[in-house]
Amino acid sequence: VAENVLSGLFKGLKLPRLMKMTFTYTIVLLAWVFFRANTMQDAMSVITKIFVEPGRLFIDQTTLVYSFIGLSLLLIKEAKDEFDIKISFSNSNNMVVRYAYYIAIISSIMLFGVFDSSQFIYFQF
Amino acid sequence: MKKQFVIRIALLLVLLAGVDRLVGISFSYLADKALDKAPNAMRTEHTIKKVLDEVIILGASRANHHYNPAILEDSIGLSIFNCGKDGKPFYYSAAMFDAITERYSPKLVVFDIEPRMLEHDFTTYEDAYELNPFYDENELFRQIVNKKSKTEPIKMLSHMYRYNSRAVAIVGKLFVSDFVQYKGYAPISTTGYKYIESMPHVTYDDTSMCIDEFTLYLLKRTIEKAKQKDIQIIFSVSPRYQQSNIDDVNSWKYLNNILSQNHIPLIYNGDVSLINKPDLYKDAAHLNSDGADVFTKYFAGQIKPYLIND
Repeated sequence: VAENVLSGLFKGLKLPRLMKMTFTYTIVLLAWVFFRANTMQDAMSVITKIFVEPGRLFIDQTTLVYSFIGLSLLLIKEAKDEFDIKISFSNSNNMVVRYAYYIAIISSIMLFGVFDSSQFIYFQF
Repeated sequence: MKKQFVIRIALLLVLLAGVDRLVGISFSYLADKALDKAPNAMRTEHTIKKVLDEVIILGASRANHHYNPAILEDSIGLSIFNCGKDGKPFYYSAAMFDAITERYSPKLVVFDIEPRMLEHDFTTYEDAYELNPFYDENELFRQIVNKKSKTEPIKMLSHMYRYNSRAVAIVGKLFVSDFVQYKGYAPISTTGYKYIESMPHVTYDDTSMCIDEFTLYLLKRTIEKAKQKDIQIIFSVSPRYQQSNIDDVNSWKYLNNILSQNHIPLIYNGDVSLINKPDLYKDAAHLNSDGADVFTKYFAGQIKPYLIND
């Protein structure tokens, strides 16, 4: 919807691709404030404070590392599909590889899994 | 075929148990190394394992930002450490008190509390995960962690799970060293925010209040242990920029009664009667460093009689 409205508003205006991406990204981020807020009043309060009371950037190194690990896994999956790489640890004929894979998966769930449902953002809606 | 499947599952479980134990031991070792390297970031572990001062401050953010040990040390002549940690309910203070007093007996422990701390709404155990690694070592920690959910005792069978969501943080602290500043106290800057414009008048609705039985148990257990170990404890409510009807609140009256019956001092400065200048606050609940210094000087005078009696 936003894209249709904005493309109408800026019809004929040619912007560099990077600027368009930044603009769309910013609009989406602002829209997410309304998506997450409990009330319209809360959302407006957050938006106002962004401009009136700017604070420091929220950069949590641990979160960044987790994001990097997660995105890396997704990229590996994409590359595997894209280039049709035939590797499957779970179906390996070698039992050691198979078991190591199972244990690695279970261990990563135990170490990085979200066991507390309230941590999952969509449970808040 | 069926027998082979069972054997394979059993083998997988045995291997998994071995790896689980090995990873748990490894993270325990890494956490100790991280504590040596970054004691400030490993605040909870530092409190549990390292602190040895004569006076300990416990509580949440208001403890951590309101009590300046340097001023208290000058005034009462004892070594002081501020072990307050942001966002922690009373269970955290009770747990830290238990862990510290297993190692040694401080002369005085100050609990900075919320007046309504006994109420159910003020208690959550969701972030008790920092106590997980000590699940086997401390009985009280075990009780607190088990309050998180009914499935927690089962999850705690895994030694890896005890470091869930902390693995990256622990490893990261091995590469970024820090040191404990201001004896644990975290001063809040006096600039960078708007001062409060009008004083909130808070009216507590007493009808919705119910006592959290486990918090009450923690309070009684803490009092009992202090008596057993002959440790002077003081409960304190530090200033807030607000006026309220707290004296009408039943849970507050109940808390007063329990402490009074056990001859535990409760020092109340929890409104604007002590500090009423908005420029000494960051927000209604937190003093900035100037406000903390004013409060700490006053507080030092308030606790002196209890140390002299001691």
